[in-house]
Amino acid sequence: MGIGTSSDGFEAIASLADFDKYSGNRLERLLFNHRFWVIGFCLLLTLVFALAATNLRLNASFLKTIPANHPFVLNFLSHGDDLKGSANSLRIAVASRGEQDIFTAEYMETLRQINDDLYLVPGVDRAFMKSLWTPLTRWQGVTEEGFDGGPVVPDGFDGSPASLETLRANVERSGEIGQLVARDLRSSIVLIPLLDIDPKTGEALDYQTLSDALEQIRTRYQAKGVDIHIIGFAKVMGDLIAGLQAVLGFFAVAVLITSAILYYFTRCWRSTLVVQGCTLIGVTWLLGCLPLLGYELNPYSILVPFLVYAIGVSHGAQKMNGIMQDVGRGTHKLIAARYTFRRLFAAGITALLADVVGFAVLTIVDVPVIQELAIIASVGVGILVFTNLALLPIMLSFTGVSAQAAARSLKSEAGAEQGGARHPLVQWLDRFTAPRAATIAIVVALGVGLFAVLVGKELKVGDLDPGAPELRADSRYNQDNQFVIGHYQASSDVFVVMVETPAGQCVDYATLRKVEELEWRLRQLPGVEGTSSIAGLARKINVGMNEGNLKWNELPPNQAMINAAAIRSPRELFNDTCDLLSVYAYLKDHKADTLDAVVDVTQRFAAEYNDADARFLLAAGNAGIESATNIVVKQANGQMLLGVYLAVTLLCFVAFRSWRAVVCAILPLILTSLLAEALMVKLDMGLKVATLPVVALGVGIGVDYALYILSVTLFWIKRGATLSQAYYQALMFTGRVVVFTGLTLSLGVVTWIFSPIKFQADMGVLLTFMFLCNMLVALVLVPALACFMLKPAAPLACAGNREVLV
Amino acid sequence: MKKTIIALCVCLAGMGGASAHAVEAAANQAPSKQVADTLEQKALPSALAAHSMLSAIAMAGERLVAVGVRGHVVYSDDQGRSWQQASVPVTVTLTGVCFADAQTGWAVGHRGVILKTVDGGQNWSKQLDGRQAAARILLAREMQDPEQSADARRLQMEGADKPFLDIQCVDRQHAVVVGAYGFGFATRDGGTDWKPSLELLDGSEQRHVNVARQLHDKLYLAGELGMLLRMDADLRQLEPLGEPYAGSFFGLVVSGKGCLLAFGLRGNLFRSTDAGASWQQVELGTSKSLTTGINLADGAILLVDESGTGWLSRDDGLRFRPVKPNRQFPFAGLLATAQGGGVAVGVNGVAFFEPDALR
Repeated sequence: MGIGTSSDGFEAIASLADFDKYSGNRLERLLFNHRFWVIGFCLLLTLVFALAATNLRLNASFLKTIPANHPFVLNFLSHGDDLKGSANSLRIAVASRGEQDIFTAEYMETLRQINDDLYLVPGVDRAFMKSLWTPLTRWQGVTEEGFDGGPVVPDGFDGSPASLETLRANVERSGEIGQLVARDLRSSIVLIPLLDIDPKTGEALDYQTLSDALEQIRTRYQAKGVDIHIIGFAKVMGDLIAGLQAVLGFFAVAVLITSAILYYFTRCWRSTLVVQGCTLIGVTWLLGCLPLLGYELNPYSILVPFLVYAIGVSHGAQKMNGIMQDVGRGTHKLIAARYTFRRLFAAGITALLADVVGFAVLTIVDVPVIQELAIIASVGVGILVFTNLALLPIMLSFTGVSAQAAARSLKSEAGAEQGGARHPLVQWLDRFTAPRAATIAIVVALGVGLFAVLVGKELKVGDLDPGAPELRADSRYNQDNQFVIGHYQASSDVFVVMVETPAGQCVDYATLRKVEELEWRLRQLPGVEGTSSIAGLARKINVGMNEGNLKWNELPPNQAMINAAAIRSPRELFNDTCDLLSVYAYLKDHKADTLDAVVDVTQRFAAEYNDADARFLLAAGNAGIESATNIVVKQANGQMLLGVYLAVTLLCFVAFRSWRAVVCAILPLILTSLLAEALMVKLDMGLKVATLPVVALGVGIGVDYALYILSVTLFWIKRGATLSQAYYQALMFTGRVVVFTGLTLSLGVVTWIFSPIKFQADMGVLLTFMFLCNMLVALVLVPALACFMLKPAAPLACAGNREVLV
Repeated sequence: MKKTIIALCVCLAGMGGASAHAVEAAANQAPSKQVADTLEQKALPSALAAHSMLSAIAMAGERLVAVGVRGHVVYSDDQGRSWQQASVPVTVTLTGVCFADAQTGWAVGHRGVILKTVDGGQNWSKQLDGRQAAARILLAREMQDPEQSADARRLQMEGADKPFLDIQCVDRQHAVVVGAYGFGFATRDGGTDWKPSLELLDGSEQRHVNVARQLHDKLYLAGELGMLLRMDADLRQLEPLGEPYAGSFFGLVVSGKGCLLAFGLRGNLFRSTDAGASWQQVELGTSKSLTTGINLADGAILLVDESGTGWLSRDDGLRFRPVKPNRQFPFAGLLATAQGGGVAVGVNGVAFFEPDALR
């Protein structure tokens, strides 16, 4: 690959007439001799894609975030219809303020109004809605004659003290305390099951519309003296989609920041705008491609436009840098553009290829969102080859750069070449080419690496925060979740074991005995707060049928009695055809240790007791799915690291043809990867679907720096320069760009730290760290390692110090 | 409602005890993939035992011993602050416990289980289960009148699915057990031989006997659908007492002054000062069922209702006022402490009525 200084064979030509239009390779001639056609073609494509991009949808599909081929998930999906029962529902807790309990006329009236409003929200399965005001909510008692019962809100309820007293008594004997009514009697829940498909229109439930409707109700009634807490999967989805829209806003911020940086580097509005314009055209193409390829933007893949943008800007900046230097030397802008294309196209392609490799390795992770992210990112980087490696130089060949900026770009270089003062930072970095500093750097790196390994050992798999891990711990949703868990018998982490039986035999005594045994084993685990199943319900019903006498709490070997209990069972405990039972374990949290223990106990139980009459299958419920995700993520992490390192090693070897250079390029990357894991431990981040791709992305993009620096260094070493000289040349030509790239990439994603979506914030922190850290270690460790690894033709290369320099 | 269940059972047996029998057989023969029969499975040691449902509590010398679900027996040597779990050979729900002295005690439970301890409640062995119980009833019936043994045969076919509900220790050799559907057993030889009470079986009209208490040399039994009976100490000579109430009784208290209190469904409480000959209703002001009651150390009477509220009387059961335990949940068992308080057990384990709360 070519090198861009005055001495590298590209002579400065001021007039087009002196330039051979047919020089350069075929591709260059094709592009630069038909510039108008190229621009026209790109303009057309941009229009088409911009039009297509208007169809782009934001979505937050739960199914895509889970490992589609893991046995747990396959089991869950094959029983999805039977398990739906109570899965998709919302709990809306209406809390009275202050010390007042719910037994007041005002509270009950407000609750009635909220109940009626919720009844009208589209998507609500009205027949199964439950609150104190719905006819489904009844109390039951034993009298001398048998069972007696009625609606909890007594007929003719008028808010009078007498009717409130009746209400209180009914609530107490309804068994709803802890379910529909808080244990402290200061709030009650409206439970609304949702219809996934609207039976009238046949349309899928729109989470965003639903969420907006709920927020309106919340705002309206918060003003009337009650607090409203809403939890449920649908609300998480609604909040996520709202979060996605906020993230789109971050894109604008990222563009503004990078524009400022770009201008600071170049002091040239013209070229800044061209670079930004071409990159944004690339992003537009990408966004247009997505609907055409059948993709939507989800909270994970929304990362891609940011990355593509940042990568595009950094490559664009490099092109611009080259052109500017050539223009500065007096070359005509078109020729300068062609020179730059000639010099940097190959390097650019290699670097972009490295990025694509980093992304492509991600497809081995069996989680659809990650695979989608990998594919979309690959497409995006592929687009950059057109927009930023081809279109950009052509655009610059028209616009040129401001003369002032061009002159400025040469000044520092010229100063140094004439033996003048080097930039102090460059001087400082140059020291690492000498053995003393190099040794220190390597020893420090080893120490830091060792520390990182020790800390990184503590890396946990899975989500570590309570509540909905997608959202921040202090988000409205998680506060609501905290409230409901604190006041009701509810857990947001449910692990469901499915039990397959022959049709009609799901409540056989022998099967229920097994279920009880499993439940009891699970309940011994510190992370399990409780369990429920038809077996437990049969015990309760046995008590109920014996006048509430607690001593009848037993599962009797009496099928008639069990069948009688099964008739009273709610739908979620077994299915219509009675060939599937669900055993629910309510967990304290969804940390990996908790999930592992539950999985372990259940799997051992299944191995011991599964037979033709009862097969215990893992796993459904959010915790069950999460345990599958953890298993896949943990496994994928090793494979992915191996894959990405293998790939970049191969790539570096192809680029450098020297294993010594490969070592210089790869070791610093490994240090960054280790540090990233240590950082995750220190920041209490688990290895999960969101953080898993970060290391691969970091390595894939991070190797660019080493590629830029080492390729130039090797070029000069081959020409007989000392390491110090060669590194100096590398710093002067690409070093600026490396620093710029590191900054743009980091700034492109740093805004994510403010995302309302927790895992995006995690990704933002990690990616920012990876990009910056990769840049630093590339600048410091690459020369330090090169000092020992790269033995050029001249024996004095390493020993050579600054005195040897001209 | 009760009748429906019985009808169901009868019907089931009639259709061919096959089905019920199959259940029992499946549990008995235990093919390799079945979990153990609850009559054969040792209770699993568990930290949760003292916090799970406990149904009865008794005093073995200074030691508290409580029994509950899954064969749990827990004992405490520090007035209930900490609990150890005993070794028990079954995992059925245990429903009653009593001690004749600091060492000797019995516990009863579902599926016709009677357990005995001779080391103050640490180790228990099974003396009887439902299969043996049914066999003994059949044997006794055949000796009495072979013509009348059809019901007993049906019982045997249904297998061990019926619970004992209470036990009273008279002395180290002598104890009586009562249970569902009028089952009663008594022993005079420390439990080597448990003799069925056909008198109770016949006289109870298949109603559940929920509780047995001793006054002088007589046993007083109370149970389902207004059952109030007096029997001798071996569960013979059944004497129906006037039935002042049609609903079920869950508990009996014999006051220090020899007064009888019978109580149960929907807060109904009756008092007899003439050993059960006549009963007067006592208004309590609650419609919650009263589950159990005791005499406190100072002679006061404490009852509990199904919500876990206590009802205290200091005038031998004429007037009661509500009192609160330190933790409130539905209680099934009560025990008086020497300090004047009460220990209650129920769905969430153990709670205390502190002496201060009862003043």
